[in-house]
Amino acid sequence: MNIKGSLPLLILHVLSSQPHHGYEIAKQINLQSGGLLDFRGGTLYPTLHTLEQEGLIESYTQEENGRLRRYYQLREAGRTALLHEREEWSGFVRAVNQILEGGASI
Amino acid sequence: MSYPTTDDLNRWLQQAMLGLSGEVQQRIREELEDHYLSSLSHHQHEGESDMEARQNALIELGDAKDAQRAFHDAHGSKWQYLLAGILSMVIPLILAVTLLVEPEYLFREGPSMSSLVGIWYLLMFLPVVLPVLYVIYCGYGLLKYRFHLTLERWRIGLFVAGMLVFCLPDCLDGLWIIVTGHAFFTEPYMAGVLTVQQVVGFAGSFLISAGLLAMSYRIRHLPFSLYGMRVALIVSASIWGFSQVCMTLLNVFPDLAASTTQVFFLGVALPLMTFCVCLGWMFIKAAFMGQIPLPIPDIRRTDAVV
Repeated sequence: MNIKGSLPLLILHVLSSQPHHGYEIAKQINLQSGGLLDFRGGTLYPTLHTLEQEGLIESYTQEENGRLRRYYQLREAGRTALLHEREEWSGFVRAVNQILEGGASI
Repeated sequence: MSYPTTDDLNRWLQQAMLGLSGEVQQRIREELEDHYLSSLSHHQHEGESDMEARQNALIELGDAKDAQRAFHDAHGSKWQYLLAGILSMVIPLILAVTLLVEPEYLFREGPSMSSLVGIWYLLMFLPVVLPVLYVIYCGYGLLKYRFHLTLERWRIGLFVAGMLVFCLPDCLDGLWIIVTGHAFFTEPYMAGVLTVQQVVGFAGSFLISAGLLAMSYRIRHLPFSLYGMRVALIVSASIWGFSQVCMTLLNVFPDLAASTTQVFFLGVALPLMTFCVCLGWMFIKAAFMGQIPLPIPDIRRTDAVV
């Protein structure tokens, strides 16, 4: 399963606990979804770059085992966006469930 | 069965980064190579053979063409910046041609004007406005990526609204000519309309200047690196104001026409052309070399301001 629209929300959620590099973010999403969500590198990094441009996350490089790695961390604006996105997502899930369970009584 | 090699990773990267600027390409290469190596190491620890691990690591990067589209959406292509660079340099020329051609039509047609002249007045600023809007769009993208700076929409909106208001009087004049065959100012009962036209044009110029200053004020909060751009915006705002003063002087004191025209070209056209050439050079550098001719420290990590 690979729902692209949910990726920014998932990235913000993963980064809310601590900074991660791209590969860790992908693994965390895969792990926490029980292997259901599997975002490819070619999808993940453009989304990370977009979130960075929007000022929701920021990146910095750090040397690790002789390799220069780029870590991402949440910014204050990102925390606010995460709360907002989470509420929206809950509303969306409730609405879809409601329809699947027979719709609201009119 | 053929297994992926380092060449396959390079081919994947080349496809994914096709058409992106040098600076963006470098960053993507570093990140995706690191992702690939982490993935490779993970698969090797899982007990996969070297070849299988390489194959799975490459699969985990996904489709290169999809990645290319996504990176283009995120960063814009180098052709976009190249076009913005060329347009920036050409805009003053288009403006000059537009302004120089105008009197030709006026004198040739006399008080009675054809629909062609009306269409000319209606559309005369379009070749200037459209490239300017495109350059603003690209400049905004560049600011967002390179300087991690998000300009609020109202600041740009002020400038764009100013441009539209500035063009409005001539557009209405064009429509009037198409419908009636005469310009506003040749109608005997429209004596005051020219003044209204001027006031609207002046309001447009004021909004353009305010928009430029609003953008420069936003940039003020960043470190010294953007001082040059801020100065450029303030200078442009002043140029717009100054050009309006010159235009008004030309209308109020026609005898000063020759000298005011000289002042206009020296005080407005030359600085405007210099500014546009600098802007164009900035875009071209961003497209090909991934560098911008301003002293820029790495502000992305700690100093960026929202």
